[in-house]
Amino acid sequence: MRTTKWQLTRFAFIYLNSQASIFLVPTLISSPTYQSWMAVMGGTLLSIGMMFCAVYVGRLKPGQAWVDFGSSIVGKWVHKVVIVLLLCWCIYYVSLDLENFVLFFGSNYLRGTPPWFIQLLIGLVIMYTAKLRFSSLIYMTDGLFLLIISASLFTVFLFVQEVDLNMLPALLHYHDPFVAAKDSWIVTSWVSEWIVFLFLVPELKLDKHVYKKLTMASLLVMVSILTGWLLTLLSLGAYLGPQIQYPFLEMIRSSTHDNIIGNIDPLLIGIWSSSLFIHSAFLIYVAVRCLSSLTNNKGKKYMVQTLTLIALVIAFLYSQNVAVYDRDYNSAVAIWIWFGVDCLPVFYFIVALIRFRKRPLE
Amino acid sequence: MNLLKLGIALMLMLNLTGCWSKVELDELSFVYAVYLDTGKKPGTVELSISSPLTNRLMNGQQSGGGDGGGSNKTYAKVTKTAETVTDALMLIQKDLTRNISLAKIKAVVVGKEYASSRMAELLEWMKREPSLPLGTYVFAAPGRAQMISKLTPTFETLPGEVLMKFGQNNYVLGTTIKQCLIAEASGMGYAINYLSFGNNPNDTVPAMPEYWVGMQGAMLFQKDKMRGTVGLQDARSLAWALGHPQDPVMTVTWDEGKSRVSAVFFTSKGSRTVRMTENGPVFYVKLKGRASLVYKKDIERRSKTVFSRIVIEALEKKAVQDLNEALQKTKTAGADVLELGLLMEWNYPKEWRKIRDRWEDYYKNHAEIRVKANFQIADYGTEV
Amino acid sequence: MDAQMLETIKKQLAGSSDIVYQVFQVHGHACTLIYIPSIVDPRSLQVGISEILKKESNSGLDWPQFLERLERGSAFSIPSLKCFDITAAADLVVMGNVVLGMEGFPFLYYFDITKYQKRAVSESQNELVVIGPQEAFIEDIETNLSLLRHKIKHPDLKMKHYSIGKYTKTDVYVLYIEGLYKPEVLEEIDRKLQDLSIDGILGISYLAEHITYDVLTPFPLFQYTERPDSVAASLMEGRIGLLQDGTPSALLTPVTLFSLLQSSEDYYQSYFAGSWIRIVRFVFSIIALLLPSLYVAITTFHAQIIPSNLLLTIAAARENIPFSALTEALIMELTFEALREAGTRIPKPVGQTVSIIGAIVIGQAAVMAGIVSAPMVIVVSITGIASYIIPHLELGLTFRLLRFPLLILGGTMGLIGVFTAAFVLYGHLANLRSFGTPYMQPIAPFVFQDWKDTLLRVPSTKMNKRSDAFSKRDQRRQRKK
Repeated sequence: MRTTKWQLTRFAFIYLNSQASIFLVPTLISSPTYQSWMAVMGGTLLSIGMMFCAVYVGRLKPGQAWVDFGSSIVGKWVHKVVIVLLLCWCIYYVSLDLENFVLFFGSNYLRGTPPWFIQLLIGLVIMYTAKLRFSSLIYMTDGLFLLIISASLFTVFLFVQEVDLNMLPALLHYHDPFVAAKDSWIVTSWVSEWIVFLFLVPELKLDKHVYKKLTMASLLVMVSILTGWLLTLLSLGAYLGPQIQYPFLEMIRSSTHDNIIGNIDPLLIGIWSSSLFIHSAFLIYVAVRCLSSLTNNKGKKYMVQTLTLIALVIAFLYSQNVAVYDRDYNSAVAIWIWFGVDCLPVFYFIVALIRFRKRPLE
Repeated sequence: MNLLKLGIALMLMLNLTGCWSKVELDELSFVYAVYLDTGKKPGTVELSISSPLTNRLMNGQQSGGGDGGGSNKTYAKVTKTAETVTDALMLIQKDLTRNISLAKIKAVVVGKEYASSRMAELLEWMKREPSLPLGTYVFAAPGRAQMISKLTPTFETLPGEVLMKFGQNNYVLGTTIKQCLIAEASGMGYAINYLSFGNNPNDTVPAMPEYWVGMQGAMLFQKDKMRGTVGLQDARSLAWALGHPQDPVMTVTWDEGKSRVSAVFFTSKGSRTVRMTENGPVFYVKLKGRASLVYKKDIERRSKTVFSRIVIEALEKKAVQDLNEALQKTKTAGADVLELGLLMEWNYPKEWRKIRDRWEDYYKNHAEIRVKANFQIADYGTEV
Repeated sequence: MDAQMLETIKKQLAGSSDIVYQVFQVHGHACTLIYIPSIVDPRSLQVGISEILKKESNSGLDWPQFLERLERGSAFSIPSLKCFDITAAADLVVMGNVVLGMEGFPFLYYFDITKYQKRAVSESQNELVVIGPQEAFIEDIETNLSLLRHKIKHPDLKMKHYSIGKYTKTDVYVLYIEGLYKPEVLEEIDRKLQDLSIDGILGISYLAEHITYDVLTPFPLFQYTERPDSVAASLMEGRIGLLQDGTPSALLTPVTLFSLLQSSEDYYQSYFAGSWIRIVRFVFSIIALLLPSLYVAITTFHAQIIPSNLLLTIAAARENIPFSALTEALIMELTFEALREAGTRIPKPVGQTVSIIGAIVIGQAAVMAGIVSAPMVIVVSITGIASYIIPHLELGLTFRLLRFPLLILGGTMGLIGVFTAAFVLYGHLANLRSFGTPYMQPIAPFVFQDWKDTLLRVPSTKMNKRSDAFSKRDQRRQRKK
């Protein structure tokens, strides 16, 4: 596999940014304060800390994947439970991805089209992408990185005229540490999915430069979220923002350009959706790795299809009852679950430190 | 192999689908302007839509609306009354052969009565309906909004375009729905263009009356309640204070009216700041501009340095005076058009929290606004 | 050679009346020459073989001395080889060799003086360049090899020979430069060529298909070229070339998508012009693929994207058109495909008429008759022109083909159909490997160094390293002075 110096950064950026850039911004805006930037920065810092733990754990046995040697850190059965948890979480996350996208795209552009159709279409694409060679997945993110960065820069430059710069002092005048801490925790749960990076081994090695590269990716994601949040806040205001379902979209559509620029939102959404496909496809890949380590590599042929189908079914059930979906998606329980999964590497890190600091891992 | 499976699955799916959201272009009718009035029965709303007729635009050239009336008009208006806007829209759609698309809407005109009572409904509808873009311009009609739809577009082809250009050119105000929504959500006020309506004095064919719509000022709102109207001069001053004036023009006289100067400000800007003092917040509105002189009559033939000093002083004085008058009117009406409350919220959160709940009252009676102007002369025109 | 051997050979060659059996009496012994006059060089035959045989009889030497000189190879001025297998003799004759059988000898000598009919080296017809070499390959392999040797004068240029095809026994040469190529690519090609058993190959694309049979893709995995300078440049990049007798094109591999979007002109013009042309080419190739589907998807599902004035014009143009946008697009596209194909096959004298008919009559009249709308004709024409901007026809054909599924998906599912199809296509391209090289290098994977020669053409003084897409070793391209 052809690896280049910053390939890991590009992959990490695309993966983490796909959900955060569009769906974290409404959450940040809906607590109507001007200090979410502090939450974003705090969340990123926490996330970098968790990344250190994850990479440390991954490097305990270079050349072997965590999913294989994890049992020698915490014991066979604990590790198996963790794998099962991870598997379920991956599938649930893919179903949320699907439903999110369907609601987002369907309610804005394809009203009248039944959600199962869009879900099926996206599901097929995810299935195809997850079945590709792992190196191809990484290569795809390399190319998409350019596209997404240029599209984001383009958006910023275009819509920076719509903002009300008088609002900027507010960012400095509001500091409520309690709110900042709570929001940091929410942001962390969105951007710290480092456990899936442990599945990059053995194709991509984790050497000592990985810390630097992933930190860079984290910072890039932070910049991206901050820019999105700032643009939305400055153009829609702190009171209207929380009332709008998809503030980012409204910001684009409410610009007073009558020409193609003001209506370019479907194209930007299309470009962003490619990162969503990568995100879901990689999650399915992780799920397949988990499942095959549980079944000792039996039945690998149809795993991708089966797991995607399960995610599709869950998404379909949610689409039949959107209120339940809303409740689950925005609930504190969901944040706790995500945070818990994100903390799994920290758990392994602590156990590894306690048990294996003196003697190396056999 | 997987590509093949994918292909087959897609092919099968395509045969099953009915392509639900597909609407051919010639089955759509794009609404350019929406006019809202209160209906004849209390509690109802009368909705009119105006949209271009693409079947009459067929020859590639749009036959100008200057023919006025008759079957050569390239736009049409449909009106229906119902209890809510959505119901009225449905009533209109049921009689129309094409699907209404609100995605290209350019302007919303509210009648005076509707604005005073049912503005909240309009704002909620525009917020929730996904196909409505928030960049639509809002206007207020001097009577019933429907009258405006009768306007004869002389320089444009469609009435909706005329209204959109009013908003875009920004000679008075260019308020969009987004600004109204922001103000409503944060408890502030806003001003929208107040149109004028009358017979076109440049009638070419007296038998077919032509109507001319212009702008005569601004209508003031606080949240979703109408608070009054102001005239053209005040509206333009407010536009300058809001930060986006379009070529303000001022004429000043001195020497007992014998010397006169007219200036056009091709570069102009307005800004607002707030500072906290022991007696409460003081709001500063600063007007900046660079004047180009287009008319000069100086009885005493002063030198340029003396002259320019006099002119600048006079211009600044007039600008401040005009804006103070306009602001006084907004204070009397209780409409925080300049969104000074938000300014305070951004800069002094602690103090803001204390007066937020009674902001309307505070603004009306206690708010201290100081206006300053800072002009320069850019050029003296093409005469020495 | 005794009578029985002669009979065997005659039986194998029975039925062909163009075989000549010429008998000479040398020192009392019979020497038989067997050859086909139309495919041997008459002058060499005359001067190098026949004359010498005739003079032998008149020389003062005797038979054993003659045989000794023959053994040493100094009897004839043309080098001779020995053939021990009598059944192969007929093959040798049909391949253009002159077979010499001596009385009493169990083996045969043969001389390779094949001379086939061939045309002169002419200008390149399909890869036009304004500045730069104009010559192109012809069907004769010896000429082609000589053109190549003219360009690369280094002993490291290696040529491996294969003879492929049961009936055609075509000469195929695999070319590479020692020290620059990737060994695994050569091994794979070598293995596949050895395993190849086929009746005959007439065009080099047969080879291409047989070498890449295990990869299912509409994209070309080989680059075809008819210019020796392209082949030389590619060999020096570390690629491997294939030449086949009878085809005036060479195959080059490994290939990336971006090397298929390059033309030799880029290197012969200045780097500003070259970079600009490349960017235009790149943009238009994407247009060639996506424009019709985007147009249909936007006008049918997402009309709000189009600015209002344009929207009114398009809507007005689409009044009274009886077909849906998708059907209209398919009709126009298929008509233009038919026109294009007809234009390629049509004899030259009539070609002019067809293009006039196509453009004016079909385009204009269809609009006036109200069958299709004017914007659709514009879209289809721009797409058509854009698809010809791709310098290599094999990739252009792929883009032309892929336009149709994208069009159908865009017309039935809107922008989401186009995006998902484009994404799946991108995934397929990222997954393709051309003999181990990722097809989308240097975009996926992102190799910054290779960007000097992808979208832009950086001055050649700055291109110091070979791309590792094609070569692994010897990275230095030129010395810094």
